[in-house]
Amino acid sequence: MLTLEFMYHAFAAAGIVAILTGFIGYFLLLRREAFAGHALSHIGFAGATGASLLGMSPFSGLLIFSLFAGGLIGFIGPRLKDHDVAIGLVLSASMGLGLLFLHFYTHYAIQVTSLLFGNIFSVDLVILYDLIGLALFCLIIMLFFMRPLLFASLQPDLAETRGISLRWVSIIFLMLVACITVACVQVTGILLTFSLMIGPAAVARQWIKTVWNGIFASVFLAILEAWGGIIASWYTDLPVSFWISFLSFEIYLISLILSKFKKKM
Amino acid sequence: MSILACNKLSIQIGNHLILSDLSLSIDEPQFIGVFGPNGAGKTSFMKTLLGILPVKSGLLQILGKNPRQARKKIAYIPQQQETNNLHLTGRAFIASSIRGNHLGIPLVTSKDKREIDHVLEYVDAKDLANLSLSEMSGGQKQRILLAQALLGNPEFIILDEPFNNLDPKWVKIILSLIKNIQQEKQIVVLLSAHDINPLIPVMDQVLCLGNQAAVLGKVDTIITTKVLTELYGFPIQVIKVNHTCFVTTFFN
Repeated sequence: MLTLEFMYHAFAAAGIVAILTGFIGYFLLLRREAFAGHALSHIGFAGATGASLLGMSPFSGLLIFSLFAGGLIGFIGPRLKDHDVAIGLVLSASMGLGLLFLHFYTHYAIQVTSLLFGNIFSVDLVILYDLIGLALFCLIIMLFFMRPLLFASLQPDLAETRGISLRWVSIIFLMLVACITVACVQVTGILLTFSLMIGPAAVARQWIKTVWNGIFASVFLAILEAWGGIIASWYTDLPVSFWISFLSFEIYLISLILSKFKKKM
Repeated sequence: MSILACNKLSIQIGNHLILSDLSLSIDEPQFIGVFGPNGAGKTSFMKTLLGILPVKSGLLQILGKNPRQARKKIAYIPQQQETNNLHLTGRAFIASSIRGNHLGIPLVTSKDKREIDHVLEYVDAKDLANLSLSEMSGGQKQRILLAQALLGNPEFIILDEPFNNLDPKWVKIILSLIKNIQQEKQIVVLLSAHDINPLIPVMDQVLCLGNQAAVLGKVDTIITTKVLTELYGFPIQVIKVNHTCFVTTFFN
């Protein structure tokens, strides 16, 4: 398995994406914005298919559309829990729009399938370098922005009294989520980004009681699931994204059962 | 220098006038209870003191400065914080607010650790440091929030309905803790609540809000049947038994 170059690329890409998703996923849950994160990836789908229709690269369409949507959702309401209905409607409208674009331009059906479900074995050096660049950019912003993000996520009212703009925190954060969603597309695809962003973070949050240890655990689990998915796919010849989403769900389920068991003891 | 000075202060949210031409002055450290019917503007008044809501007209000075300049020295415990799903420890929760308004990585220095230990010890909550918030009772969470409020040695503490969902035992414990802090540190405490009775023994003054106006005065002059009935627009009776006041409503 490890004698093939494309497998090295696949492991490297999956590892980078897992670090990003494990990190941002922890904050998505802390802010109770998991649904917004889920919606962002779906909204990007319309951008990707729309860009294909216009003859542009679907990834640029995905990036621009997701960034715009992330900024907009962040601007609408720092407390997104009140906007579930609106986000859900925008999400389904975007998917519908994506499908319409696809209807007009069926040429790109294969490319769109890989956008939706990922295609990690097609990662070449160029994509890998792009991914490293995007990951470094996201990580630097994330680390720079982490202190006010943590404060505003845990105690929004108090953070506001210290001069933090909750709206700007929300806009920057969701734009970061949008960037990471785009990075994720090659590995899990648009439809399954949720599995790497939310699954590992949910388990980490359940068991780990401090911020840094929680983030490390979330990143560790994301890497475990991403690499586990590649290995399982190699031996079973089933899609990687299926395995990643399956592992994510299984680990979450086991964690849930264990935590219920622990409570009863 | 007044600790809090309002001169013809008006507060408005959108088209809704909350307070109009309010003038009052607090000149020395004391415990002030804030009361008023729902929608009277208790939270809005507190948020204006913190510089979150703007002053429509008039003058507002707190600790001799405008609210935005003074907020470093004002601690705030907001109403109904959603902490039920938080698995973080009390210590991690408190640490998240340290230099929270600065950019950078939230690392906790040994000095920060000492400061957290000190405030936890001050509110007798050292045993809660490593317990997760989701496992704490309402009263224990209030202790953690109080500990956090004491970081940075505030000169003014604002608590917005801290006793919601607390049973009478915890109300008494937390209230005497707040009173001790106020007296030992010689600061102003502004605390809003719906139930006046538990606060009567600890308050130095009462601030009542209603009908876009406010009155500040001693407990004896404000907590009366006439003032409270007018303020709430609802029959309220104040009964004195052995020098202790009780506030109650009529039932027909």
